Amino acid sequence: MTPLRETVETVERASGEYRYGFVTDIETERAPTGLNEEIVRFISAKKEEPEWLLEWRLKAFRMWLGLENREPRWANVHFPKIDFQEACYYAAPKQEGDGPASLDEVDPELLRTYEKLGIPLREQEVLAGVAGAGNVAVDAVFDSVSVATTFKDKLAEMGVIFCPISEAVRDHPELVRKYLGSVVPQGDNFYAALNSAVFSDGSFVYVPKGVQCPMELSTYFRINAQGTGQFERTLIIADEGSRVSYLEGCTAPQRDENQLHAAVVELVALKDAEIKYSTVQNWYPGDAEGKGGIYNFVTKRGACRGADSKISWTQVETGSAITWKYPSVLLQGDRSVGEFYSVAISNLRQQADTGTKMIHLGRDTRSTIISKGISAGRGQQTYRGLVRVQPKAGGARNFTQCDSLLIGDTCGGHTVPYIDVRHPGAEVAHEATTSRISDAQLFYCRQRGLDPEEAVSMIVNGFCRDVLQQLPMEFAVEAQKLLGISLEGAVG
Amino acid sequence: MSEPLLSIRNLRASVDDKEVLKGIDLSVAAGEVAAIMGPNGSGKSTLSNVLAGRDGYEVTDGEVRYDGQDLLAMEPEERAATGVFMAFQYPVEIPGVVNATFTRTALNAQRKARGESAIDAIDFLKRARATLGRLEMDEDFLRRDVNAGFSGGEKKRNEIFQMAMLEPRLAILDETDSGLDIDALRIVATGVNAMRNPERTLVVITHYQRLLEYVVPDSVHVLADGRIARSGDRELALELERAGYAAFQPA
Amino acid sequence: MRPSSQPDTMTDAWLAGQRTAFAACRDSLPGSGTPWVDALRAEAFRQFEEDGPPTARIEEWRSGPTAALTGQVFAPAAPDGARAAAVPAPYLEGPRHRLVFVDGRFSPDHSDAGEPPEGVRLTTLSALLAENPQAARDLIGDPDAFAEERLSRVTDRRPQALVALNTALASDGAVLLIEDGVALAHPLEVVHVARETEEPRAHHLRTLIALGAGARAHVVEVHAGGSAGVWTNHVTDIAVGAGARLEHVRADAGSETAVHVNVAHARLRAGAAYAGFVLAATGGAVRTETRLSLEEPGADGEVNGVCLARESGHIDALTRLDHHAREGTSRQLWRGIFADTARGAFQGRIRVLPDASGTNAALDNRNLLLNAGARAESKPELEILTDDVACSHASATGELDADALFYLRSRGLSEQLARALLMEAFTGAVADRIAHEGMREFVRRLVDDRLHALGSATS
Repeated sequence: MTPLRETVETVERASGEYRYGFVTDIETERAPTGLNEEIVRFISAKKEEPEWLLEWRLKAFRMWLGLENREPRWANVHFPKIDFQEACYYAAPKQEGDGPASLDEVDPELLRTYEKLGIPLREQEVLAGVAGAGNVAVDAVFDSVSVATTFKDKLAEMGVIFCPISEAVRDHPELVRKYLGSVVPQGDNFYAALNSAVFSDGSFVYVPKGVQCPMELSTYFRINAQGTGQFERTLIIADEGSRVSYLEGCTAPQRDENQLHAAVVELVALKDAEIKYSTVQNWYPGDAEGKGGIYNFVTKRGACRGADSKISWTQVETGSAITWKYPSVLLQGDRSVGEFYSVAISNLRQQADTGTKMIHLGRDTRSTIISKGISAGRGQQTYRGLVRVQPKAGGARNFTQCDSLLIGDTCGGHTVPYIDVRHPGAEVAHEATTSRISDAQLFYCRQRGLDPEEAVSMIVNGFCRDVLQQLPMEFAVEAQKLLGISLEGAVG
Repeated sequence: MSEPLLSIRNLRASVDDKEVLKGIDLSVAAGEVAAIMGPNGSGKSTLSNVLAGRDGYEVTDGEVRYDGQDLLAMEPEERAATGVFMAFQYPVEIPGVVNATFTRTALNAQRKARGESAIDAIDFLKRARATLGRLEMDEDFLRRDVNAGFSGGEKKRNEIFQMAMLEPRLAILDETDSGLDIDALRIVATGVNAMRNPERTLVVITHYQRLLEYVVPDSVHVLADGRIARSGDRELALELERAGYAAFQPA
Repeated sequence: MRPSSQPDTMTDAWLAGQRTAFAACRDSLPGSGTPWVDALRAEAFRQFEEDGPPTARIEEWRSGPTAALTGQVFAPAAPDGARAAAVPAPYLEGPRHRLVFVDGRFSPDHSDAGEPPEGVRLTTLSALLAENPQAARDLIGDPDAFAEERLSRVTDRRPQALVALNTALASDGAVLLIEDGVALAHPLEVVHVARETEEPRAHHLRTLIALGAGARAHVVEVHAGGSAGVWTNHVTDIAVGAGARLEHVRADAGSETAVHVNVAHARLRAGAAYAGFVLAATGGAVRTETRLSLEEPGADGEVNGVCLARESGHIDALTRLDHHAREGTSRQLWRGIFADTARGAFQGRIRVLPDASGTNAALDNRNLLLNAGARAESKPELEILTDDVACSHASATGELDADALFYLRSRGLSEQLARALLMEAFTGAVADRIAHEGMREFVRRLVDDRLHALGSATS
């Protein structure tokens, strides 16, 4: 079956509805509404954290208070002021005693949720014994807590640690303490400070020296409970000469209210290490009138600490009412490489302000930015990027290509790059185009037998190919489907 | 010959409120190769675009019957599914979409509309390779983006390739010979001739007679100032070659 | 991405200094005593205070020379006819109209307005306001030309303190008004000479250019003289009528230590064309802005520039091309070369509003850094609000092409000559876009002079 055919059939099945919009009926344990030091202590106590982490959180909370009314305003997104005292900062599926030791102890309702999302956790675990390597290890985060991580044992044989960050705090405190906040400090920005104070769970990965992680690591994030935000924290460390590919998927129920997702992701690549981080983000985008949807305010940053290290971000952003996200790379090690490949769609009344920062600090560092933005309906989309070459980064190279595709005359596509070069031996090149799907292209496809939606889907997939082919195969297919679904109804 | 596959009656059409087709009458039988010739601005391209269903062409009068159906009432993709193919005068580039994917997706979209099963990738590839061989085209064609970076001749050959793969019942070749050198012309003509059979109708739209030396038409119609000014057999094309269109130009 | 903030005490002192300056000179400015002029100036000063001084906190000023501007208080220069000024010989060869201003005031002795054709009014702001203030007001009050509102709120978005301050304090400037269908056959050369000064001095200049439907004109505005301690704040207000065409060159030919702010704002009617060229060359500080408003269908805008900075010079070039109506076209070509510890910034924006379908717009910015310590910033922006467009921008920063350099040297050119040749080619492509031959020749000569200074500074 061709990807396109699959897309079309998926569209038919979904018939224009957000297909992940269901709600799991499960008992939830919640923190009291609002945010103060007591809540921070409550979260820390719930997670039985050591004193140092509580102090770390409290410091972040005080920084956040200091940043009050300092929410970023420079982004091209518009929404009513968020009352941070109205939200609930901790929600967890209720369970007795300790967390589940195996999938058998996980609430079956939860397992069914992940199956509906296309992530059969149990099957994965069973297959592990049969099919061996080549599978995907999954960490499933439901509201604020990680509910299951598959393949842990197999990974442990290689020395790879893949577990919820709360577990890593308990079992590998020295690693967490050393790297937590080392790339995104607590006071980095308003949302990062908030996350640092109240982060609930997320994934932790450590790949030891010289190890090529034998399978894709994956986290599926799911916001379920009403009136909550999700504040996960992911920390990935690739030690010298190691390599890891990490995938992240996100969905949320369809609700009339806006829900806040303020995550922080930190990546550390030491000498000769390589991290590939892929995201397919499909949070609920809200309805055609702009009601509901996720506010996706995320800080993602990687540090190429060692020489010859590499960090690659690939993102397919189809969901969320508002996206504010700039996965960045600090190119500290000589000859280190940073990449950013992005497809973002804004349909309905979605607003996306996304891009990247490539900060060249070491010599002969290289970065590539390929951004494809698609606006339709009343969507507004901005690429915002920074490429900076510091005075010691001789031989630095950057290439940036930003293309915007507009579908219909009520949407907007904007490109705001900022290039700052302080070394004469650097070469930085940026190109951008904005255009629409031409009538000639559409007619050509229709003359060959494609209906208008198929034609648009095909042209858009072609437009995005340079980015999609960066994704691991399983994700690429899903991403292609999502592009088609997200643009449903975009052509009149 | 039998019942016409395509029958056009008193077709009038305007572009930007300017009448270009001023009452066309034309019948083409199944299996017939009809050449439509005419000077620049006579309405040749308008006719092919109206038949294929392109936006921006307003039909103000008349009708077009195709295989007993009202062709003008159909969407472009419906026309394609019932076997109408247009080889574009200016084939369109679609960056990022690979030729093989495009052609197979089109083929399966048409098959689905006709209630036929999809062709799988392996069968498709076999057929595609054989077709490419006949058209003296490199297999590399399949992996390249649709028309992107193609030379003029490659684009036209790609149209013929798609036509061969989609096996239409009515193929409209809109100035397929324009911009081709003699070798490319011969290859294209071979491809077109290979498609000729008693079930398939070809409408060859051209300014010059030279394509018709290779693709010998059953009938020739002169389009001038939005009307069929004269119809005849192959001899008419040769006559036009000698005398030019002067006799048909508006005073 | 958060700009650093400036100490408020400095800007407070600067504001206070401007207040004192305004109070001291408002009664001696052109048009003083005419109620509408006084009211306009008062209103403009109020707007200036409301907008506040330029700081890095304002997005459009993020990479601007704010410290050079607000680090000291430049008081408006008082008329001082006693001192002689070194007025350069005419820049344009051949027939021309020439207006010369010294320290912000018209100098009839140095000027040669020639005989403009019927339908062309060539004068100065002070003369216009003195001769017949009511007529001036009628003229300025014409909503299609220079609305009073625009004199104090000339641009698309606030804050624009320096434009407002210019309106409050403008001491003089050239005025060119052309009636429908009239062509000014010979170019107009406007020269602004600033004398050297010990005390910080400001010159607030205002040029008005209005072309009626189908009119044609070529205008060169040159800044000469000057020294450290001179701040020129020059606003050029332009209206191009339907089908009219204006070619407009602004060039720095003077001191490389002065502080120079230059804002041109043009409104284009249906089918109008504006072709602008900017040469910014400095070891001091330059802020140059070009704002085009393509207000009606089919307008065409071209804004090109060459920026050359050396020593601790700082150039900040800003363009804003707003396509309001359908079928507009625009092109921008900018080249920057920065040596020593100079800093060069380019911020260019193409904005396509919802009604501007069929827009075709392109922007291209390239910068060369000649040595360690120099810095280039580039911020090319697209803001597109309708889908039927073809817009693109490109930006590249690097050093001189090593292969090309080697090729030239292998043909026997010295390294210095090879570098000079490549820099000339790099900038020449922009200068060559000037259609008027005399203006193009003048610009090429001037660019070459400045390149020479740049080359010798680094070799």
